[in-house]
Amino acid sequence: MPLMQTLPVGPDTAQWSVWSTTARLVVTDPARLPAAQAIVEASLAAVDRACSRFRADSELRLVSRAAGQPVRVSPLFAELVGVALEAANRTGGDVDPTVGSAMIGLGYDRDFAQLPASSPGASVVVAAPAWQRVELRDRELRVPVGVELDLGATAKAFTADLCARRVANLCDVGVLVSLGGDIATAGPAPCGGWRVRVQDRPEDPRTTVTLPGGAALATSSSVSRQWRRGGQTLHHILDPRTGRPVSPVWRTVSVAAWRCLDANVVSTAAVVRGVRATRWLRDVGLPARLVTRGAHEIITLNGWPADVQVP
Amino acid sequence: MPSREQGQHRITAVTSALVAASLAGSLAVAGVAYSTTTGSEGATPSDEATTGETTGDAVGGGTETTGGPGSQLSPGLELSDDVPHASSGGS
Repeated sequence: MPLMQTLPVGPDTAQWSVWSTTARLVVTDPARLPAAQAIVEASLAAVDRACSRFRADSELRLVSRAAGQPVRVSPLFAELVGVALEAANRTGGDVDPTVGSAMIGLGYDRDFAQLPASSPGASVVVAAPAWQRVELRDRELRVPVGVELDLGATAKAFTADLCARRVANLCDVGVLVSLGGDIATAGPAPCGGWRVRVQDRPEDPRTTVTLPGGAALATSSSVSRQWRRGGQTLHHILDPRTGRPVSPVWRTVSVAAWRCLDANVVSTAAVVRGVRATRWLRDVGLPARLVTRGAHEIITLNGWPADVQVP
Repeated sequence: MPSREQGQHRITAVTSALVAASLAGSLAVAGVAYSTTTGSEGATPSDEATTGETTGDAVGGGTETTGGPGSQLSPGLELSDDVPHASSGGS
């Protein structure tokens, strides 16, 4: 059971399954919860229609079928692609939205919940970082032939930010939105701040931190969303330059920022960068917590409070 | 309303500012809408593709700004031993 589902669900909280993970919504005024949930569900549905890899009627699939021809897309999809390309630009290509073909080649070609835990097929490695060849002009998008988009590294965090802002603005309430642990907040925080437990697996070291209202937190992990194919254990964070899952130096990387999108881009890039991550994170300056592959060591940077050792 | 060319120059300037901010040690860009500059290989600057710095809203609803004064600073975190509102694990 995901750790999120072990947390209490009070009158201020709604929780449901989406995108093979858990959505959790907490508001500072329980009376606003139904309206807030409706806003979040509508936003999730719109993002799903725009950029799901797994539904034939999504805009992402429409662009894929266009065989390199430009396609006029919705404002939302243009924004989703835009922030993904910006993430690639800001990370020097470590977070690349053109790893879709690589994901398919490794067998991640359907909703993760429907992915067989193990399959005998051989992986097809597709190493073709191509984000610089994607052209987005206003709402006109052209993806080169043979390139498949996968916005998984940015879309969920972007959506968490979007939902939190909309709920805060439309319901006039403090709000926390978590999509699979990508957490965005907006509006006033409850007394003492938003408390977020940071932990991947039950056996992993954990900490609980408080976030001020408007802050965000994301965790990227090399042990989540794993599957086996051709006798190899694979996971969903790929090195775009090799088309293969990154060699896990870090078990998890958590980052706090003022946007969940920023937090998740940085945490994902840190996993991809491996041993080069800590120096880069110091330069970036965002609070970060890194857990080594065997969970034997925890590194905290840039003001992230050190874990309290439990005797 | 600025012309398309003016808009592109302004957006490129925003992008440059974001890159500079990143190099200076801050990726916190809340309150500044993102922009994207991409182009095909070998594109000249004038050929750069841009997407607007403000967004259309397919789902409807609300002024969408985040952050505010001081939002360029990283959020401060503190430890807590109280019941959490949410958890963040791998995603």
